[in-house]
Amino acid sequence: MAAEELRFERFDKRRHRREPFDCGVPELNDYLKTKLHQQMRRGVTAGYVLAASDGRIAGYVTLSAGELPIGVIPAGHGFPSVLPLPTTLIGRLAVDQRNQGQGRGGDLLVHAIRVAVRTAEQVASAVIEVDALSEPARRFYARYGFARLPDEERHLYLPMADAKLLVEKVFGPGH
Amino acid sequence: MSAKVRSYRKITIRQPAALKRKIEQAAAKRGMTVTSFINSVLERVADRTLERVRRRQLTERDQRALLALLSNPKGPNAALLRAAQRYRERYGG
Repeated sequence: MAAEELRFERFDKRRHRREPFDCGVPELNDYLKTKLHQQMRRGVTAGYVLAASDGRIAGYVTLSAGELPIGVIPAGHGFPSVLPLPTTLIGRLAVDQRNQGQGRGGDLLVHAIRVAVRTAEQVASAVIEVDALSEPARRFYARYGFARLPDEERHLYLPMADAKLLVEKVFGPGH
Repeated sequence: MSAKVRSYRKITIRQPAALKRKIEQAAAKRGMTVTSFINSVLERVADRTLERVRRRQLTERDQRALLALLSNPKGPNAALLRAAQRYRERYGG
């Protein structure tokens, strides 16, 4: 298959064609087609698509700000003692079936990390977190170094410090 | 639903007549009884809600593990570095 020119853009329903998108998981298809636009309008989620020049969507990923309540912090670790820890949440990530097996999931993840790092420089976030909705999703994030905690199987974390290091190393100091 | 059900309990709920008709139509469309239709929908929503609650309340052990992770980041792993390099080649910096 000839390589199709794809690029990352902020999702815009006027330019991007949602209808043909099929990643094989009905819930993730429906989310793109019926909810994402509205949630972006409401300021709940930011959506990014990997799109072809004709507007076809090869994949998408969503990001929101989150927080984790932490109440066990010992003094002197640089964390405030009572706080919700600010996080960046990867909500959903999906690749159209026509583009599966090309590493596009990894591309979407790197894009999300890049946006997260850039954003965290202006509005702080300590960690990127993700709810893996399935076992293959959990393995996907684990492969890229997202860590699980002892009591939570499906929720994974990447320290923002690691994300920042990655972006600086690969994309340079100005990202 | 999964395991074999050993006992049943009742929930009595009232709904507007129009909603009841709508539920009956939807159940019929799925070829389910109203009870099994309602149960399947509610179970899904309940699971999701419990999931959300559980996530917002990390166990003490998880809180400590998370802080340890954030205090001693290991750096991006090789797979993530490779993915980022490929991203740069594919889409530019």
